[in-house]
Amino acid sequence: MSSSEFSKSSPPETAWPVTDILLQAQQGDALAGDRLMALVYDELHAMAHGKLGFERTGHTLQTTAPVPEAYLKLVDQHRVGWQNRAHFFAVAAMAMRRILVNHAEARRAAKRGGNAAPLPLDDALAISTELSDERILSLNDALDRLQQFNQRGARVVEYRFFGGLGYDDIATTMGLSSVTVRRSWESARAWLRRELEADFVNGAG
Amino acid sequence: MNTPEKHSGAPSAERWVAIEAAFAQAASLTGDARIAVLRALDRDDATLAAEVRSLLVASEPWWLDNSVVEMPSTMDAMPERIGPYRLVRQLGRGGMGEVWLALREDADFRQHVALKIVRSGLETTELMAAFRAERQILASLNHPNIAHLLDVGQTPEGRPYLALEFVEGLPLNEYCDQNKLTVDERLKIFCTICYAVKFAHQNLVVHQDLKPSNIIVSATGVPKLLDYGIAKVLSPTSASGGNLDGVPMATPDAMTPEYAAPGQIEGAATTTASDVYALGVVLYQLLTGQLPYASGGKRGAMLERIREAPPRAPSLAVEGAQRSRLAGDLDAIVLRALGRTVGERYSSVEQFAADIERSLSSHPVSVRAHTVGYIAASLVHRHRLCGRCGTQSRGEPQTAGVEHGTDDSHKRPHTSRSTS
Repeated sequence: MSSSEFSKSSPPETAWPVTDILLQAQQGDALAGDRLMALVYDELHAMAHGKLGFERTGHTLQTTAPVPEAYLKLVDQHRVGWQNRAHFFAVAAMAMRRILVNHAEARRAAKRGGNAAPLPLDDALAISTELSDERILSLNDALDRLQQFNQRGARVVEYRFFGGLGYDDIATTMGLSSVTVRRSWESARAWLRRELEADFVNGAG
Repeated sequence: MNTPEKHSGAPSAERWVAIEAAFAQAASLTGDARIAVLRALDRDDATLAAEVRSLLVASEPWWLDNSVVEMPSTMDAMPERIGPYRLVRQLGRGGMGEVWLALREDADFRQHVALKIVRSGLETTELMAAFRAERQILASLNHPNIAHLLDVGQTPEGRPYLALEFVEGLPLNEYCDQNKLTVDERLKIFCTICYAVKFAHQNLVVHQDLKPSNIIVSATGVPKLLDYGIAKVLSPTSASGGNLDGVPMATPDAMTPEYAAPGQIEGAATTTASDVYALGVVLYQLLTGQLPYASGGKRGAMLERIREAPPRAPSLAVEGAQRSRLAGDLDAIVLRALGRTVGERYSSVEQFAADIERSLSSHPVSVRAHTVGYIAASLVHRHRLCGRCGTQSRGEPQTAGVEHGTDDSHKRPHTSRSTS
């Protein structure tokens, strides 16, 4: 697919801080991969503080924040093809996971210091549109455990939950069929749910 | 039964491959077929069977299904055209996919349509077959207060789409509130909606997902029902483990529970009586600004409330003059529509609407005891009102009969709406 179909206007080169590094990373430059992660992390972090309202909401994050448009702005759609974009979103998913986890840990530490009010019990699990720190942290731990025996499933969950990628996009990024991605997602999410419920029952959440 | 491999006891990578395969097989089946597979597994490897059962139980929708970021459904750009349609702008996005405003341009006619493009990852072949079948049925649904399904097709990437009549206006509640409609004006619009639903029922089509956001009122006060027949196509019966990626409506968990009749919530077949109930909720909300049951809190708890307790009367949900307006006929009518069992509800939308009209013209309504006192009171009231209330002609579809009076808030620009 030609990238010109994606965006009509042509912004100045400097508006795309990630593009060059992304292209280098795609060409197999391992160091560029790390730099890409760092850069995406910084950009998303700044964005998250501006857009997700970390400080404003106190102890929870609004989900489905309007990040994607800002995401898209990080990459020059004219120079980056579809596969590169998929790669970028995969990196962005990992960065988003780190941001959310770091943030939740920082706040938990602050609470231990006695600075913050206790977390309200989130009894609206199914309907809630807010994501508590505890949830992020338990999910992060459970994903690490999943990763031990099911690397593929853990990756799929990461791309989907933290990156918002669909089956097809994940399939492209991971070199799998969409059917396999879906199967992997469904079993991994069931396993995680069971794990997290055990967490909550055991009082860890 | 063996204990599943829980927490701390994570399986090996090899073991997981077997678990995933067995789980995927069981999850793809329903009913007896699933039970048969699990029984066979019990004989071969009871621990594996227990593990699979435990994962199936954990297969309900939950928060992980909603990504922390909302992405365009695919990263590849939408083409400029899909079939005969030129995409203009995105109107919305939801679990099912995206909705675009599109323009159909032929040699001698131009038409705006709402294109609903199903997102990738759904069962394309089945959906296309269901869409085509539904189009046959919906083609007969020619009514001025029902938005038309114009076309079905597939994008070049194979995603099914629906082309629907594009309706510009506001969702029912917003329209009524913005224009500060009186109770009577709201009831009149509501009756128009009822007659459209009745028309569909006569054509054997149940909406299944009636709610204010599916009822758009144009700037001139004409309501239109959106998404006729679509809920049905998108909710094939699927047991847990089937379509779990937050997709739609497949399980009771995924329907719009606030408007779903108690039976529907438990998975009973939807019938015209479910539409009566949903309309009852819509009317309740229209008159009180509240839902009959508090939403929020645990979903299970809410469903429990709907099953167990009758809702409080609409008049008790408001105060002052509005309370006395709703007390009596309107309370009785709304509560009748919200009957928990089919037998307790109006047996048709037509009866529901007829009672509202009787109440509007101060004739005795069917759901109140016809005591001499009640009939006499209606009579007196009717004669007192006589000068100002015109009789509403029944079954007149297009006019909402709304007068805006001196309030000019309706002149505010209306945003275009379509549901996603």
